[in-house]
Amino acid sequence: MKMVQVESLNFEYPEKRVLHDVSFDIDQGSVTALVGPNGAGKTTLLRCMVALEKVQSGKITIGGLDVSDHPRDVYHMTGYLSDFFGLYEGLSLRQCLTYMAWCQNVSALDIKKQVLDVAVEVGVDHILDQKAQTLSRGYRQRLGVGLALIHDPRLLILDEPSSGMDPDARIALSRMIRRLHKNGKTIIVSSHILNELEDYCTDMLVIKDGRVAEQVKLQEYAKTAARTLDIGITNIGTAQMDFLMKQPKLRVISTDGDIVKCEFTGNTAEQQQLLETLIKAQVPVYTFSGTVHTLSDAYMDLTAGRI
Amino acid sequence: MKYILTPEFHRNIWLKFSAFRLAVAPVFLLLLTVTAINLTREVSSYILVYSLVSIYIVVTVLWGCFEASSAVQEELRTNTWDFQRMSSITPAQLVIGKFLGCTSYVWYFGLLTLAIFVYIFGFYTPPLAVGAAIPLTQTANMHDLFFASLYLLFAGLIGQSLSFLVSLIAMTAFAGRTGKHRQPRPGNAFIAGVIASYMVFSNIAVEVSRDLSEKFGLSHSFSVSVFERHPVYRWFHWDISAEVFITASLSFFLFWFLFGSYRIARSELMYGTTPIGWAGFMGTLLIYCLGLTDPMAAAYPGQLLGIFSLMTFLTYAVMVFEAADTRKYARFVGYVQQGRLMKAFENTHKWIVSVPFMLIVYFFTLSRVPDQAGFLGSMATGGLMLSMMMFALRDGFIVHAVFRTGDGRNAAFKIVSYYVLVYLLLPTLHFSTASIKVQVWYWLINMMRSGVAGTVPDIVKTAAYYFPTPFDDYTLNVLPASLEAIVAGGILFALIRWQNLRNNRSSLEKPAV
Repeated sequence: MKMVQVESLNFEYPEKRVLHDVSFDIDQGSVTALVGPNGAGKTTLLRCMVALEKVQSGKITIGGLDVSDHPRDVYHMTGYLSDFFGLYEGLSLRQCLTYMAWCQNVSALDIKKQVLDVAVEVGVDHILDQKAQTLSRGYRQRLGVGLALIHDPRLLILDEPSSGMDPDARIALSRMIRRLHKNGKTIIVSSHILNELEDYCTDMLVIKDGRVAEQVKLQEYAKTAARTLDIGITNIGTAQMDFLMKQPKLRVISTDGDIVKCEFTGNTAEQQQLLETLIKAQVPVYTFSGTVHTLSDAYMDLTAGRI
Repeated sequence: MKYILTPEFHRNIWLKFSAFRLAVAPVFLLLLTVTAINLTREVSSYILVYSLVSIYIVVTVLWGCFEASSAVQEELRTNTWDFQRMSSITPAQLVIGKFLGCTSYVWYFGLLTLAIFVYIFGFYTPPLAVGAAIPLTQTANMHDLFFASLYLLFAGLIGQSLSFLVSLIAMTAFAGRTGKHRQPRPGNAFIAGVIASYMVFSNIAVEVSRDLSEKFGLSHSFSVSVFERHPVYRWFHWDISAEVFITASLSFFLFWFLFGSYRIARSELMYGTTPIGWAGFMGTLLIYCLGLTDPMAAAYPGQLLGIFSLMTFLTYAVMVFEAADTRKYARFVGYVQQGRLMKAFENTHKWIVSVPFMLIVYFFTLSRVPDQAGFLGSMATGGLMLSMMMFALRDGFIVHAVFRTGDGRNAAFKIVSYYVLVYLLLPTLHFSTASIKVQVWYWLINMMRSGVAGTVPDIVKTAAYYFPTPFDDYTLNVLPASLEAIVAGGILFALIRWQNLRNNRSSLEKPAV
């Protein structure tokens, strides 16, 4: 089932168009990494999706509702944390969360429980009476996510949630997103830090120059995408190199002593077949290791147009 | 109560009030009272009341307008505005909660001050002045006390509500930008509010000074009160007492300032918002102003011209403020093509619904102004009005075009340059030759001395290329102004069309991978 459907979306600022005919779908229960270079239109796209901007043409549907026609209903089912969000510095965390719960029409009877539940969820329950102005960057981010989650939205959209965070805070954020995913939330995360996205994302949407450059399911990509093979051959000679270069789906990238670095585009069964072929041909293989491509590799592949 | 006790009001109460701040206001006022009474017993009450009025004005007008003007700006500065926009809060809750909330401490302080003022002014009996030859007035005029207090309240409310409204309007003028880039400067909103409060206070609340002076036997240097100048106001055919008329007028403006804020809040919260609210304001303002005119007065044409000027000014202002979001034109066309007329109406610029009100005043004026030659005749007045309308549209189109050519950050410079060019440089160049100068000055001096225009030199008539002018011959004034407006509109239309074609072309291109 589709949580988000975007069809032929165009958006322009008064002087220029920044989103060109953007179309994509996002499955319910997925965690989608929205990636792309600076100025690609990621933030604008997210703001259009949560009805903070009026689109020029095209259609965005969230949970079956047209965003242009039902922006207020979309707000009810969406939690959005912008890249430069702010907090009411003079309020305590409890007051911040309570205020947002009131604003989101959380039932008066449930507010206390909801505030506590969300505080536990984002890991700020032990500092609820601390003022927001005293928080570190990591805790501010957690509180921001808490504010976006207070009305229990089905879709959570986080724009650059980990920018400026230290490693500990990033790990905590990753865990939190995995937990939210496990609880059934559909999540879209825009970020530049691809290594982190790899921890929890199921899909990747690449935006470049205001257009969708590619959209992939990471699990399927991992099955089919090229991987790097390091093949160690004792006393490697020209004949052995020629034999290697003749193998299907294998491309020699470089050699370093006895180690030949190759790019292999076959699947795991074909990789096993390759090893058998080498041994049968009495190629003296003493090491054979494959490296599965990371999200960064996938991003580089996609933006380089290799897949 | 559900509109007052909103989350936004609660949040402001949390932020604005503390035990210390609660105590400061009464302690300060108590100290002031004790000091004033003990300082000089002869005039103690007089000094105290004036001090209280001064404190009240400083608190509710200066501080209050500052708070009201910076409430939304603060949300934008701290990037909390998007949280509010995406919440379930309604526009009415947002406006009332924010307006009352941001000024809550100001009103706590102000109302305490006003309460002491009412007591001293109305119920406190001053001691006999030392050496006084005549007994001082001992009883307060409850009628004046009531209205003085009411207008003091209005002075604060009108200023604060206008500051709040102007800050919201200023925010919409940055509609082409996002996040913190939408921040308007609160200075203009603050100044607008203070001026409005001053107009209320200086014209109405000085009533206080007269009655105080009578009560405490002291002379006063303030102007004569409005009640004395206009005991009765004639509005259409009704004679309305000054108290009722002024109270109704202030309530009228207070309502529209708050309702205007509500409509902008609706739009910000992404509720469907048509320009019907703006049309309502223009319509009721027109009726209000027409009611104040006197058809029997010699100045009647001038009064109608004044109303037309007001309508033109509002159209002009709304065109300038809407210039940042010319994307509405494309959305309007798109929805019309889809047959979604309500959506198209929501994306209609307010200036478009303003124009009919200008035309109403124009035709009304033509029907009422005597059909005679000369400055206040129907032809000349009509010519002046039409050329004003055309110049307003011309400038509006150009300002819209300027905002289409950039992200709005240097728009102010471009717009000021445009104004300098069309209203100063070009006319100066045109009229700069020596012989023309002599002709123009000779005609101007003659007209001022005799009071009649006489034969207008041809060169003076060319002023119609640059400014609205009251000539009988419409080919002299209305035609050039109309041509300029059409050219400006054409430039805007061509620019939008060209940009759309360019954008559509670029959308077809593949991303540069």
